[in-house]
Amino acid sequence: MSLRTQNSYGSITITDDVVASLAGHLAMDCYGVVDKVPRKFSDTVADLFKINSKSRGVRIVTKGDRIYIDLYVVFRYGVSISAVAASLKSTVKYGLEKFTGMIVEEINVHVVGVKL
Amino acid sequence: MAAAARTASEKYINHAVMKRMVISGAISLDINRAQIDALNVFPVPDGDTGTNMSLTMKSVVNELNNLTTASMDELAQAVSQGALKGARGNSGVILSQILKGFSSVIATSNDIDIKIFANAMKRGTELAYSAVSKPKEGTMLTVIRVMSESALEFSRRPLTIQDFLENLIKSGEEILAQTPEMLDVLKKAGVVDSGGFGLVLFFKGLLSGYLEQEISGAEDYNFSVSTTTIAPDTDDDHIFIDYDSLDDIEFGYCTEFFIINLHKKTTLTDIDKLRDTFNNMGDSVLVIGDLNLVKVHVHTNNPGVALAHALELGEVDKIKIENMLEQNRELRKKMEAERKPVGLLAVCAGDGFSSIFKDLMVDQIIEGGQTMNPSANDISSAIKHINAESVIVLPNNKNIILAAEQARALVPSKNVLVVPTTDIPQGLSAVLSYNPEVSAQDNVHNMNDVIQSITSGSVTFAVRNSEVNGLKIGKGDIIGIDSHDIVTKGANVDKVTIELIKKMKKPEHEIISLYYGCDVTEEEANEFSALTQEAFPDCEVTLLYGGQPLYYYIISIE
Repeated sequence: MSLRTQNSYGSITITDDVVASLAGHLAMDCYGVVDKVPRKFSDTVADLFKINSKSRGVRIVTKGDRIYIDLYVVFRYGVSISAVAASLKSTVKYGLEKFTGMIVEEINVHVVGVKL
Repeated sequence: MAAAARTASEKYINHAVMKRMVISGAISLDINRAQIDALNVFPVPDGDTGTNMSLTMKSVVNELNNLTTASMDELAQAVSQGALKGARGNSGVILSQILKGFSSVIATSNDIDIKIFANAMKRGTELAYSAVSKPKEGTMLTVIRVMSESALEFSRRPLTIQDFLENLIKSGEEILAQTPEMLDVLKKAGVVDSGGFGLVLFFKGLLSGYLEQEISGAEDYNFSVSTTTIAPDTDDDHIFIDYDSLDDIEFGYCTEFFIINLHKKTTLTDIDKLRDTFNNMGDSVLVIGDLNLVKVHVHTNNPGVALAHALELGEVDKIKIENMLEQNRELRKKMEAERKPVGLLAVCAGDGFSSIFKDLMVDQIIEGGQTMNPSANDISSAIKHINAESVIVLPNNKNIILAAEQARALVPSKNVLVVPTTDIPQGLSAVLSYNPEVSAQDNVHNMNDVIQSITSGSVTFAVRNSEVNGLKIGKGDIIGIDSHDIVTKGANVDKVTIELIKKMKKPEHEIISLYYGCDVTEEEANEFSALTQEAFPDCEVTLLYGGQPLYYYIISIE
């Protein structure tokens, strides 16, 4: 749905789509991330995701001012999966918190493929 | 007209009565401040819960005294603001949150009935829980929660305010007595939660204020778990500090401040983020308030960093940073200075014996005995409370000797010596032979000698049929036991006791000491003492109150 918080002027609302797009951008900028949700990924799951390429592979749930995010990504062959996953987590978490002013409560990285 | 007014005041609280009640609650906390301080064990052993809660309330009273208008709304504001301003320490802050929630609900009506009161307590509980980042059960949170739940229940019945409050207080005392079961730290120290105790006292004060009664002086506090350590009266308040765990301060600076004049762009989320940041750099974190005023409390090793983070949200004010490590060192130094070479610990059953041991300068007493045997843990706890290098332990019962030996392994920091006394008369003689001029080792040596020459026995009733020493004993028979065996039986306590003394007494004995238990009245004991003196004219018979359960008389002959 959307994130919500308040300051002395009034309230600030940010929809989930925005957050998802943002997360998608941040994820692609990470070294070692090649793609999000490969074509071969099961159709039923792919249906649940927005076809919009910017927020593909990103699942967002929001509550109040907290963000819960799942990333489905494809890594480059040869990189350390654990290192890139950790880097991805911290990049997305930091970026989202800085740009939206909200709090990332939980971030999960699902590595669904490896590409050359 | 008067009758109607009376009934109204039994069911409603107006603002004047509420003001009186709150002030009375504050007085109640202040009078008992030292006692609440002495119970403080969680989260750090710095003994100031009572002082913190009392000072928080003093700030409230200040605001109340400055009130000029006569509306519940203004009163509620004064309570809430006063509490927030004066809140200090964990317990003070939680109390202030309870009051904030409470006053937000009572502000809605000029006449408070029990339903509104109960709702106000519920709101207070909600805010109290939300203020603490890691709420723990067994603390004052539990007490206020249970009291609020009971309040809601009671509010459904047609009770008067007085009955309602009395029931509330009773439910508070009940849950308070269970707090040691919920928190190990409390159980080990043998105390209830200090903040919870303060809360119950506060509500008692509210009731006194409602009834326009004077609050009596420091309340007599009764708490019983099967083995309670009773510290003898000393000149200063004996604080229940576990002297061995003073090392455990992980975050050294207790940092408190307000954030005022928050920047326009600061959101509520920023306040949450601040709390998360502090949780990552310290503990005992409290960040409460709204976009007008935020109160912060945190224990951290980087107070400067904490302040810097807060400055991003607005201006900081009333900054108070205390070095807890230094406070700790001072406490330890004081402890070292007051440390004496040898301390004494005795186990006994019976309040009379406890007083006798206390008078003989025993440092700690554990209530134990034939059925209520203290565990090694209980004994080691008591040893830890004695500020001495060596501790001499007198178990006074053969079932406790082993536990006392085990307790030694649990207190490696002290030199623990156990004198294997098998009954209380031996223990008494050991204590009497204590010489502060010689070393602990020598004292133990002397005590071991002395206890050999004590002849002692006791008189009780048989709990089942048995045959011992050629005596056929039926259930309920009165039996006389010397240091090893049952030697006599009968149907009458006095007769059996005299027979027992006859069997134990040797010609060289001169003094017979009788200690009567709680099952014997003073008159009966006096009569019996006279009888005994008649029966043994060549000895001097002394009668003392032992207060022990189960044993009518404990006898010591020398």
